[in-house]
This record gives sequence, structure tokens and C-alpha cells, in this order.
Amino acid sequence: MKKIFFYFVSISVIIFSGILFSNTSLLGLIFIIFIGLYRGSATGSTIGFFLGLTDGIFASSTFGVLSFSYAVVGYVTGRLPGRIDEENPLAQIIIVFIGVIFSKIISIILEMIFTGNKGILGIGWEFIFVIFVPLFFTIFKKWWLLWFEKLTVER
Amino acid sequence: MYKKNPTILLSFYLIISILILSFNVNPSIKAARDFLFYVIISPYSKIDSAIFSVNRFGNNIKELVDAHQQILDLKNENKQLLTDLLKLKILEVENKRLTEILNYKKNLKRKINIARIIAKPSQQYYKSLIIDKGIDDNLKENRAVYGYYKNHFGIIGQLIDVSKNTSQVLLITNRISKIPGRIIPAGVDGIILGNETNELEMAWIPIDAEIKIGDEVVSSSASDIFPSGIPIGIIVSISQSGHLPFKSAQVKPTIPAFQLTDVFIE
Repeated sequence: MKKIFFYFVSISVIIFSGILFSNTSLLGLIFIIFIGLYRGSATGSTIGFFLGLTDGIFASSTFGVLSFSYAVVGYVTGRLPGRIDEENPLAQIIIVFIGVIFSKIISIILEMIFTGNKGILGIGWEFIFVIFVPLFFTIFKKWWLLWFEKLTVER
Repeated sequence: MYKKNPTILLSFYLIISILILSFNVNPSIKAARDFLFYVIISPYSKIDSAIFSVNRFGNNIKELVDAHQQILDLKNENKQLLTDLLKLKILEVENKRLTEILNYKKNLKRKINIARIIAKPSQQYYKSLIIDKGIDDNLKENRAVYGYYKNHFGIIGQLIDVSKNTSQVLLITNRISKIPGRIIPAGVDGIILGNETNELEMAWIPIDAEIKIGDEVVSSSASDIFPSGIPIGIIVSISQSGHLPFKSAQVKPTIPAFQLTDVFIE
């Protein structure tokens, strides 16, 4: 129950901060990848689905696209081999970068299938965010430890 | 349990997502999305507006002070404009009145002077008034004085005390004023007496005279001062004079002297 409340509060904070800074997707994706890496693919895909669903309300994309792509990203992140060191900042940056690209590709494909709109895979200024991924990971870890005693890797 | 089968869980989420995507064109999905947007954005918009209000607080205070100053300036300007407007209204009324008087004077065949009333003490309303013309303007005592009020011309009195630059007018409503008058169309004469009210008394009217309320009273040819036929007033009531074979009438003056600012002197 406490975890559900934790995830609910986290998603709310991410959504509201996303609205505040006019960037709803990247912070959420970093959180999904963080959860996927530490809590496994089941939790990663669940958080990805609900965060994508909420994000989809505000995003200009077709409703359902983000829930699909985020759930997949959360699942795939949780499926990464255990030998990948989730504490390594470089690994964190690379995983998030690939995760973002992967999510965008899925979104473009879904848009094309369901709406016929041909999307363009653009790399915008928001990718600068990726450099700060270790910082966000640290913040998320502190946030987790604020609620729970320890953060164990379950993938 | 679900942690052991994350693939099934993912499949479930993907199916739901695809279902949402499939029914995306459905208005109910759009309505649900709009509803969720409203539910989530409402508290945010309140927080955002609160933050915005705090940020704007300093500017708001400055704008408030500026607005207050502007209001004060506008109030002063408005006051000045109202004063100017009042002055213009007074001038307009004065101009209209003087124009009427001048037009009337042009139509008169007699040689007439126009004098301005310079003193009209309240206790003298029905007795006398002072005008700004005198001996220097060739005025003499016992000259007829007329008034013009609301398109009516009529007798208001006579000059009794003429000095160098001013003169005193004895009003017909004064108790000592006695002038001969004639009731038309009956053509009977009587004496018009002042009684220092807003009405005159016309006495010594033959008891058989066929007069009625509303008949006009004009100056009689028996007068040495006033030419005949100049309006004096209108009969408002008629009464018997005791056992004598005369009756008297209450006459409302044609010209209320206390309303005038200028007079005509023949």
C-alpha cells in the first residue's frame, strides 16, 4: 500500500513539474527507467503504463501511444542483464538515451499505424537532460530512501 | 504473483493501450481524456495562479498606486470640466435671455432703455428694486418700467427716485402703488393696488361689469405714466366690496418682478 502511494505521489510530482517546466515526457521516462532498473520489469512496465497514460492527457500525441511506449521501455529496462551496473553514471546516461530514442521510435510507429501521421524522429534540446541523468537518479534514490529503508535491485 | 510474469502484465498493458488507440476517435474516449485533463489541471492551475499572483504582487501594488493617482487626476479634471460646463450653461442662458430682450426691443416702436437690476433685496421683493441707469442716461422720475419674462411683456412699476447712475423702481405690487387699469374685453376701468404679495388688487370695478376669471388687465388710458393697453396681469378671483356698488378682483401680475435681471424703461 505504501508503495502504491509512493508511486502515486511520484507520478503526480513528475506530471506537475513537467507541466511547470513545459516538459512532460523526459523526466517521466528517466523515472520509468530508474524504476525498471532497480525494481524489475513488472514494476517498470506498470509505472510506465500509468505514467504514459497520465502524460498522454497533456501530450499532443494520440491518447494511448505514450502508455504503450512507456510500458515497453519500463519492461525492457527491467529485462536488462544483471551485469549492467545501474550505479554507473555512464551506463545510466546511455540507457536513458537509448530508452528515449526507443520510446520515440515506438511512438512514431504507433502514430503511423493508428492515425496515418508520419512522424519525424527529432533530437531536440531536451536531450541535454540526458547528461544530468546521474543527478536525477541520485535524487530518485534519495526520494525512495525517504519512504523506504533500502533500495534493492530486483531485476 | 504478477512479478513472476512480467510479460503477461506487459501484454495486458499493451492490449489496453491498443484498445485506447483503436477507440481514440470515439467521442467518449475524448470526453474521458478531457475530463482527466480537467481533474489534473484544476489544482495545478490554482497553484500556478497563486504563484503568478505572488510574482505580480509588487507590480500590482505599483499599478494600484498609479491607478489611484490617475483616478485623483481624473477627478480633478472632471471637477474642472464640470465647473467649465456650468459656466458655459450660465453663459448660454444669459445669452439666450439677452438675445430675446434685444429681439423684443427691435420690435418696439417706442424709444426704450434697457437697464440692469443691481439690487433686489429679499425683503423688498414686492416693494422696489434698484437699476443701474440714472440721470446720466436721461432717466427721470415717473417713467414707466416694463419687464419681459417668458415671452410676455408687461408693466412692473415706475421710477420714483433717480440719481446720477442709479434709479429706484416702485413696483406695482408695492402697497403705495396705485395705477389705473382696464379689464378687457369688458372695457371697464378700476384702480390697481399693490398689497405686497404676489397678487394685485383691482378695486372700484362697477358691480355690473361683466368680468370673469382669466380676463386680462391692461394699463388704462386714464394713466399719465403708462401708455394704454400694456399688460398688467390676469384676474384670478372676483369679490364684492361690502355694500358699495363695486366689486374687486385679485390680479396675478404678468411679470414676476423678482425673477427679472433687466428691465425696460420708456
